[in-house]
Amino acid sequence: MAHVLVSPLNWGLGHATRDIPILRSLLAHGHEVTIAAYGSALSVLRQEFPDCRWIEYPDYPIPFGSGHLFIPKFCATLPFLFQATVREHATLEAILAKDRYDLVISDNRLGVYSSEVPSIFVSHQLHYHLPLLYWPVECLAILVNQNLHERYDRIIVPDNSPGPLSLAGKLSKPQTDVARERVFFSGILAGTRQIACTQDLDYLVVLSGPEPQRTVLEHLISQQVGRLDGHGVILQGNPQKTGKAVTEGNWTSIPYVPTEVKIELMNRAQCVICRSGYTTMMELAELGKGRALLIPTPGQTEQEYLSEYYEENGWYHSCDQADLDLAEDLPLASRYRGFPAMPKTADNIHRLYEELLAGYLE
Amino acid sequence: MDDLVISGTVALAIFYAGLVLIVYGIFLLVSLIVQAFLAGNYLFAGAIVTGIFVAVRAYVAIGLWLRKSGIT
Repeated sequence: MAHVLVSPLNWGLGHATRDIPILRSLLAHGHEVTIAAYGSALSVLRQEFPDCRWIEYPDYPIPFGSGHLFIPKFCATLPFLFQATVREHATLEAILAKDRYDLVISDNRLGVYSSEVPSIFVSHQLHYHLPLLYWPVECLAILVNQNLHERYDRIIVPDNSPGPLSLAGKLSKPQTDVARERVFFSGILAGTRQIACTQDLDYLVVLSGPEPQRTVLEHLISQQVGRLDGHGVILQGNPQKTGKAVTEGNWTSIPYVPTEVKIELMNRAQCVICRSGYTTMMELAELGKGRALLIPTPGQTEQEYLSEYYEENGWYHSCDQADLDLAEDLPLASRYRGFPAMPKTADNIHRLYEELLAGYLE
Repeated sequence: MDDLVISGTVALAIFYAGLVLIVYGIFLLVSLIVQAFLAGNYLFAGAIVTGIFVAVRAYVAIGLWLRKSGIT
């Protein structure tokens, strides 16, 4: 039995939730897992895996603002992010010194790697997409990424190989030899699964991603849902908020639901309204949802790129948060066909374990 | 010193040096244009504005080419 440290980034819940299948697989194979995370990411994983050991392991603050100032703000906070990464790495060395670990899995935490213990990086972003005017920064980011990837033994990309089934498009395309030598395309890794049930829920709103934009979208949607025909559920995606479900008219708002309940609701939904965060996209792909409306987080270039990419492919309709009009956008969303059929998480996680993880653990 | 610290510091230094150069360049060009206007040298001011226009177009063209070629 091996001991694995799994450490997801706490920028929204996406990193933590896509690690759920990996954690399940490790536990199913009899390995010991220690979860090292912070904030909501830690809360989610502690709820899902109450028997796992856990360590509160702070990461870095999210440099997202309330407007379209992501890039300037990101540039200004780079030294602090760098300092936090160095601190994060020093903390990891201290954690590893206290106990025996056979493998470190870092989900997008740049300081979580070790020269002593094999380290695997999980990321769907091998390339950072920026607006055209920032192309020199994008070029510099390729070199920075190469330097970061060198510190890991392997890189798990939770996407299909580059091509017509790629969910992350150019984001998951390896651009350097360092990335090409290390990359393992696992296919989608989603915490959801298809279950046999009636699609009796007209709409499901899945709120996720970093604050304050999560709250902004929640307010916008709450103001508009009353004008829609049919009934729906709003998942507020806030595991640290206490409180029960509140029902107003045909709509119910729930602060946070365990994964099993979310899976059931997603299966029952005829239409999903959500951010274009990559983890949520993997969940749509896993469930084969044909109808969804995507609302990228303003200023988050990755989500904006994914929205455009899906729109171009005719997979999903998306609209800007500032222009959101559910009564107009939802009929448009029904004209799109959803993601093409692709291998699902159960097969992918089996392949990931057999072809990659087992080599480090058995 | 840790390799992470060295490479990160170098990357940050390059990034901020680039930003400083851009800001200095803008300041220098604006000063030149203003001085040329104040001196009545409209031809020189026009030449600088044309130069800026060409440089911006070249910058955008390089960005488009990088995107089209799949580098960015």
